[in-house]
Amino acid sequence: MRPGNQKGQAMIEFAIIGSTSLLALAFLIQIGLRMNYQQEIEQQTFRLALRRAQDEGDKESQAILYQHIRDREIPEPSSEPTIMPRTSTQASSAVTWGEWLTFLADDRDSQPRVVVHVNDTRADDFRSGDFEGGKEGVKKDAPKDAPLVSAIHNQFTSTGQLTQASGASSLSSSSSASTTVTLKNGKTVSGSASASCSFSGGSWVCDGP
Amino acid sequence: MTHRRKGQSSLEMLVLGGVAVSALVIMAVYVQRAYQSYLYSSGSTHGLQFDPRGTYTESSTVNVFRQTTDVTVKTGQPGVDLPTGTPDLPSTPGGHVPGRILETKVRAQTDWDISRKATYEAR
Repeated sequence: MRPGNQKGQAMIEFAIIGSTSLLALAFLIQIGLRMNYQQEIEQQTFRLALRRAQDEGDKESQAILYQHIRDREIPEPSSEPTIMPRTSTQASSAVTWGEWLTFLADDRDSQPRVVVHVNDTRADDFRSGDFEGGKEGVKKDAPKDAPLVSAIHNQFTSTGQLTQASGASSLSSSSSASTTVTLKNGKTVSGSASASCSFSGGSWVCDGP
Repeated sequence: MTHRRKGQSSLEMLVLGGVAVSALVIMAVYVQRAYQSYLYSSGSTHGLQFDPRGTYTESSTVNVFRQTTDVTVKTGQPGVDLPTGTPDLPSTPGGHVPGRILETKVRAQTDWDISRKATYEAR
């Protein structure tokens, strides 16, 4: 029925279309994860700011600016299975919880609190006055509208091993992130994240964010 | 004379043919060996002989895969001014909250060290 020179045509079509479809699906998952994590950090940051503002004392401004950075694991279709690549996500939120009729002393506590949260580290000792022109580390003529963060240094490291043998196969992989944020006044906040995953004897064991 | 030479030519041909055939038969062994050697060396260029029933181990190790990114913030969203109080309530708190990042300059660098190891037991 089929001419000799058309033998295997369907197989080749499957090989091309199948691999292209798989690649497209993998990229779709990657983009989906990226959007999901971005939404997650934006909403999480607002809630964290809300909670932090509520936790402020009666003699504080009860106003919070929350700067949040998280380095998340997002697999890439083009990378090896033993590599767990990371992508940095960030969001900020400003919440004013305060009852404005509260009388406060005109001191540091009355200034809005600035929280910088980098992976597992949360620095919440900053006040808005720390970033005003002329304060320590800030030039006198620094623009008032300059962003809180002036530089971010990320270092993502991954290691892993894939072994296939006649009896069984195993996979182990780990990744870590180390991020340092430099603020407008020259102060730095550093945070890290790590995770590991292994597959052996037919089951997966994973931990870490 | 002529009568005695009858059949000489045929005998010579027969002997010569026999020698040629014998040579081919004997050389066939060496020709086959040479051809098999050619096939073996051609096959070996693709790697070791693999038999899934035999003992084998293949290992791929990512010793380190490192991505370094340096982000310099160039511009940001204007900050938020929280109003101080009204003239009636002058001590109500206020201040300026710095803006967030809008435009950045990014420098990224990636380096890696990957090794592979394969062990096969040939049979």
